[in-house]
Amino acid sequence: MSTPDRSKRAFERLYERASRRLLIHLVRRLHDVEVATELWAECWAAAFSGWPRCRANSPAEEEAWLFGIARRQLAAYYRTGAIRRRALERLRWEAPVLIDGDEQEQLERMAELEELRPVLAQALSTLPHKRRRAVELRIVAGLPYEHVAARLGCSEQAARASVSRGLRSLAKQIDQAQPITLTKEISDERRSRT
Amino acid sequence: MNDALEHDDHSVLATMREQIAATPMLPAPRRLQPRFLGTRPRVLAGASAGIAALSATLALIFAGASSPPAFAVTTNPDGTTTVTLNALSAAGALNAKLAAADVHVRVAPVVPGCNDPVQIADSDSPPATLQAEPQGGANSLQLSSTIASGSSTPDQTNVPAGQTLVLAASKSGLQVVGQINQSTAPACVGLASDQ
Repeated sequence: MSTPDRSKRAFERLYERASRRLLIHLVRRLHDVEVATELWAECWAAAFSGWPRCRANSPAEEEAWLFGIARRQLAAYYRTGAIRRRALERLRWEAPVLIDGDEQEQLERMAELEELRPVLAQALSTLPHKRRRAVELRIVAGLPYEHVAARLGCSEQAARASVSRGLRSLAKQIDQAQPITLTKEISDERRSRT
Repeated sequence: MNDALEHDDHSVLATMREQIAATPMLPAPRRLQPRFLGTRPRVLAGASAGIAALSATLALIFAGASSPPAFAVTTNPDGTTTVTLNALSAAGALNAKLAAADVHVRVAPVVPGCNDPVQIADSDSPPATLQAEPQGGANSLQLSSTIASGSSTPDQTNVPAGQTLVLAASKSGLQVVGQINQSTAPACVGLASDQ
């Protein structure tokens, strides 16, 4: 087996292949472009830091490794309602800031959030009241977290946690509706396992 | 899914691309090769910031006049520091010496039953285990506080407070586990009490 290429150029190739797809994946999971963009940036910073130790031997495995990082970042976000920025801070990178509403809409179009709204509405009905309300205020109404907290009568951190846990509950149903795809190789491999 | 939008159409993608382009990629960590007791110490570039603070050679502690020292921490003329452990029973004393010197490096004896996974700090990789590879280490590791130009080893000079570079010790020798958070160290590693 040949030694995998762990050069910066190889990482940049991974970025070109997967950056957009990962961003869309996170936007669709979080329904919140701002939060998704920040989490996406932290994923790439973590991936950059871990790239020399990545043992993937093919482009498909590299993408699976990257999406594994994203899965863990998402799990941490769902658990805490906060985004760890450790990798970004270590590299002294900044999470990209959306300049205007057009950019936000563009990302929402890329993620096809509009098409997912019926699925989301259906899935929302399965949530406990407080989480459903939190998700509705933040994701559907688009209120800032401080307003969500005021409406719910709780702290901003508690509001973030309610939203993130609500999204975790919704993620499976939304994924089933429109799953994100990796490369053909990975998809085939997963199909063969099931 | 909408594929009409190209990468460069969105500033988010472009911003991250620029940051990647502007950041040097650290080289991959070098894997340690098997070494035997009494052989020349192996060079491991990368240690802790505390090593740089070691301004004097730490004393060799001899177990007996005719036997090799149970452990030693020495500073070499080139600025590197060599950690030696010839007797697993001396790991505690070696750690005490490292702690006294404020060096964020600890030796964790790998004992039967200590197979707990440890999460490497700031890493998203799966947890590593402390299980030693047979003949996978050396009894001495030379730790450098600087990186030589073109070195293939990572810079581990900045071990922050609350983290520790762990060396797993077994009959096979010392092996680098990686930097871990003290709070996540398994009990059998015994880091929590000495820092």
